[in-house]
Amino acid sequence: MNPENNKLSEIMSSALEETFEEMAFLEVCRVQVPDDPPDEGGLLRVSLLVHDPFPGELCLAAPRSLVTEMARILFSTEGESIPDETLLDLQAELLNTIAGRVMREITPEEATFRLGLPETGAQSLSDSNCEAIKCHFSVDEEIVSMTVSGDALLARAETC
Amino acid sequence: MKRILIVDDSNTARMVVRRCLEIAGFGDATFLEAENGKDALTILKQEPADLVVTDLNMPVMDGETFLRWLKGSPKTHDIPVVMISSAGNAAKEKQVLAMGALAVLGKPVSPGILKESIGGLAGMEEHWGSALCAGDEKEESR
Repeated sequence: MNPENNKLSEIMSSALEETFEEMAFLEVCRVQVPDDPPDEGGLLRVSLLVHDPFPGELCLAAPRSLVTEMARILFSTEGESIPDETLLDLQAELLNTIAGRVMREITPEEATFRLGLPETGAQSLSDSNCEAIKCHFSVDEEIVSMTVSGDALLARAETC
Repeated sequence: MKRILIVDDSNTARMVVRRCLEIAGFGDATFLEAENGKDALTILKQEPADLVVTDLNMPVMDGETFLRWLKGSPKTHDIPVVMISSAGNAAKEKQVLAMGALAVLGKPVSPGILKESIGGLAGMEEHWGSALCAGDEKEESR
């Protein structure tokens, strides 16, 4: 599925931009697929399932260095090393907020939606062969990517 | 000294809420923290709170079940509860407000929105009067 002109990718971009700016005062800019993809080993990944009304999954991947920088801004810490647990907790909270914004946009007003809890290190649907939309963003000169997968979620986004 | 209980499974979210409350003028309050509704009820059995700020989507006991327990007990029935959630929409908001929540706020929260929702509580101006004024000064100087 082409993410460029897709309604869901617009909603995703807007949710990610607002969340990063409001929580960490960082500007976000949507970019094309990077020529030089970030090293997978340096990425922290968090995923979250959408249970109802359109089952699917959202996944956020960000460089460890960027999440560390955000944690320093949020927790006002300098110099000290920040444990992985704290970094993943921060990233999970970012994804949770982004997911809520995305789902508010695509869920009919009279309906309720139900999100799972953010998970780290779990096998993601976006790693399988199912259809997905992946968008890339430049944040503080680093590349963050967000993937949405799941037939029902993608189909809803096409029609909302 | 007022006591505020912040309930969220995310350490980051609890810290953000606490910082917002401090900026909003509640910096002199005593902050209590719990990771889920069950832990929060355990804390409330031992220590009273003047205000609860809780997430909706949590493991073990979610915010909605926690609110039901809180409002069902004569001991905790009157504690004002602000719900904060990424998963809030109009239908869910109506539901938890009907259950007795003071307000439902979307994530991420801001000091201004938190103050507005708490300040609207009857009797809260008297309760938190100096804190709310201090919050105005702090916000203006930001």
